[in-house]
Amino acid sequence: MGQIVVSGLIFGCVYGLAALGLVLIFRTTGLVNFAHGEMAMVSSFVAFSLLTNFELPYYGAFLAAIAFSAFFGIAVFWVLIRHVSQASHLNQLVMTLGVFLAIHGAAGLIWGHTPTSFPKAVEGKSFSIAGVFITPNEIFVLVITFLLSMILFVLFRYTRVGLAMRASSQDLVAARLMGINVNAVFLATWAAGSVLGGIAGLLTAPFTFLGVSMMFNVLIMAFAAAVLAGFMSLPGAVIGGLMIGVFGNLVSYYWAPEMALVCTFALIVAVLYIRPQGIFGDAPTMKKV
Amino acid sequence: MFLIKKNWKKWTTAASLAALFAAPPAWADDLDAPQGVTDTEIRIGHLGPQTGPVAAYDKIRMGIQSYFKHVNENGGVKGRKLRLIAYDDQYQPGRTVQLTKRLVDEDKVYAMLGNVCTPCNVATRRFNERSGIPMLMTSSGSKQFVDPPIANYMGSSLANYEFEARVLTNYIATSLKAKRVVVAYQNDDYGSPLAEAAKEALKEYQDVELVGEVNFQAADSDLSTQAQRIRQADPDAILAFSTPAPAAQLKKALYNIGLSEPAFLVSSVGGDSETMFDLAGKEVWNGTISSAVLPKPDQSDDESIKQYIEQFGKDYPKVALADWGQTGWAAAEVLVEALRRSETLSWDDFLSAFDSFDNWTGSMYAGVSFSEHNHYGLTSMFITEAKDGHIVPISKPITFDPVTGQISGG
Repeated sequence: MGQIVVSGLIFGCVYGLAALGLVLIFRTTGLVNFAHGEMAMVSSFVAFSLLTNFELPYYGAFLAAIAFSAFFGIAVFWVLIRHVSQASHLNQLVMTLGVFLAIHGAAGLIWGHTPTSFPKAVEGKSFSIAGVFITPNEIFVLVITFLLSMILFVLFRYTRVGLAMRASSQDLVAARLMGINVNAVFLATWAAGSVLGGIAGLLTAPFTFLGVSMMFNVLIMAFAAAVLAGFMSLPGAVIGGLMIGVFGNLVSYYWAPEMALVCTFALIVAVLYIRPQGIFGDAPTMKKV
Repeated sequence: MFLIKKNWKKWTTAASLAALFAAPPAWADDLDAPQGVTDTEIRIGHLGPQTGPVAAYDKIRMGIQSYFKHVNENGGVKGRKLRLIAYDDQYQPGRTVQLTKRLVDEDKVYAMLGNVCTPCNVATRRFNERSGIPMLMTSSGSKQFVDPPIANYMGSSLANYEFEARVLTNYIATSLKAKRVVVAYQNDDYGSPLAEAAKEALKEYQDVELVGEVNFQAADSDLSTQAQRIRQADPDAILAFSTPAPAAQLKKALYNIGLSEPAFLVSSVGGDSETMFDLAGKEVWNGTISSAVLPKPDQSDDESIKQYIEQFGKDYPKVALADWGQTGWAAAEVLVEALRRSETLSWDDFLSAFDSFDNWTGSMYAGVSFSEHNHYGLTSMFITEAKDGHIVPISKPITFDPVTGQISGG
């Protein structure tokens, strides 16, 4: 039982990190980014190219890939998304779906479709704690996820940047009138969201193998985690990811592996039926004046 | 006016007769040469995943392409160049059905060679049987394409799955002397029948017990729960029927929970490739037992292998030699030999030519045999072990007689 829960937590962290990026972008810009997983995949390939072609050390490649993620997020927003920011939600969705397909196709042409291994952040054999096996890399994933979600929570809740993000998400016109540079806020949000996705990709690749389709399943689970979190709560996205990871593993172990996905989405349907705003979302309120 | 009409009739009749004798009509051409054959080329079709999670099998196409290039550079076959028309079906049966029709009806290929993916081949079997197009060296070990024999299906480029399941089971019971076995399988048209065949074969050994079975999907990336279930079963040997990525995931998951003691055996589809060392990690993959129908390039001085190393290495310098490229090359060797043996290029003559293969050793395969009752083509394989980054043979050829079902050698 302990082993099943711990394994679920590890993958849950990856889902949670990917969901964090999705929620961050949605909370601030009101846009669901379907290309999130593919952007993360590109960052992972960039890291891999730096590791193999330029023989950078792991952490050098890791940091360079994260810097690339930020730049990539800014570029996608500035070149593409900015132009549909005033368009209907449907147009925005179609735009991010288009970006998803374009990136996937281009990545296949550049890097091919054969999966390959990707190095772990921390090498080392697994060891047992109270009968539960865990690897140093898995501990790294747990720690990074916890730290990032805390940093983001503090940034969003207690800093002026976070305040500007929250203000922009609530009312663009009012935010502009208050002197907030909304474009800069959106750029920063896309950069941060893309970095979170990039980190999720770099942490995912050793588990799923590096390949152009490596983020498909992760993105589906990240969406599920974000929905569970009501698409608004940052800590909720991580907790949602952890819940999905553990729940899926328990179903897989005690019932059948093929039922894990079915039951996970049945759980989400049940949650949304009882709480349409998600577990961590606030009920919509309207103030009459 | 009448004269004109009369003359018009004369002229049209004369013109029709002249046209009839001057050039053979289209239908006459169809009767003489089947589709896909011109004076200069023979068109061959191939379907397999070039993109997607199992794109590793695209190396089969590369192997075919490379052999065709080698043959064309050396004069072609029967004075014609071989042209490969290959499409990406992404390992999706729905796409395979569409693309098969495109190859047969629009591209009008002469034959199809080495088509990948069991479920995809199942989806197109009826269409192909009706069209009569020669289906050669299908890249599936499923029995249904060769036994009972189908007139236009000749051979598999992989060892027959059930034969392989029996050979691996036999190895577990007699060579490893394991008593407790877990069967792990990919839950689809590929893995499920193999698991059934292995469970059936295990019943032949009274002192060997099936202590558990687990399944997974081809796209699963977390097999920790399956590994945990296997640990609970406490086996001596784990027999997995899987494609490469999940096979690597399963062994990694077992390794991560400290389960490296039981012998780990994988079917050739998931184990007969040195890229597995890259996917799972050298330390993790070492010791894995599998089976193979082709020797690795660095373990043979066979003439065919030397040609493969030279040509494939030149055509695809970044692709590993000891991989699926060999399968494509070897399948293409069988096709070309059959074309050479065929009296004419009619489909009937071409398919009959296969019956003259009696343990033919001119290809990379240990031996290729066909007969009226044997459409398997490949009936020999050997056991391999993963050792220090290489897949090495650890048994002599094991042979399967399709008529009696007897297994011998090893």
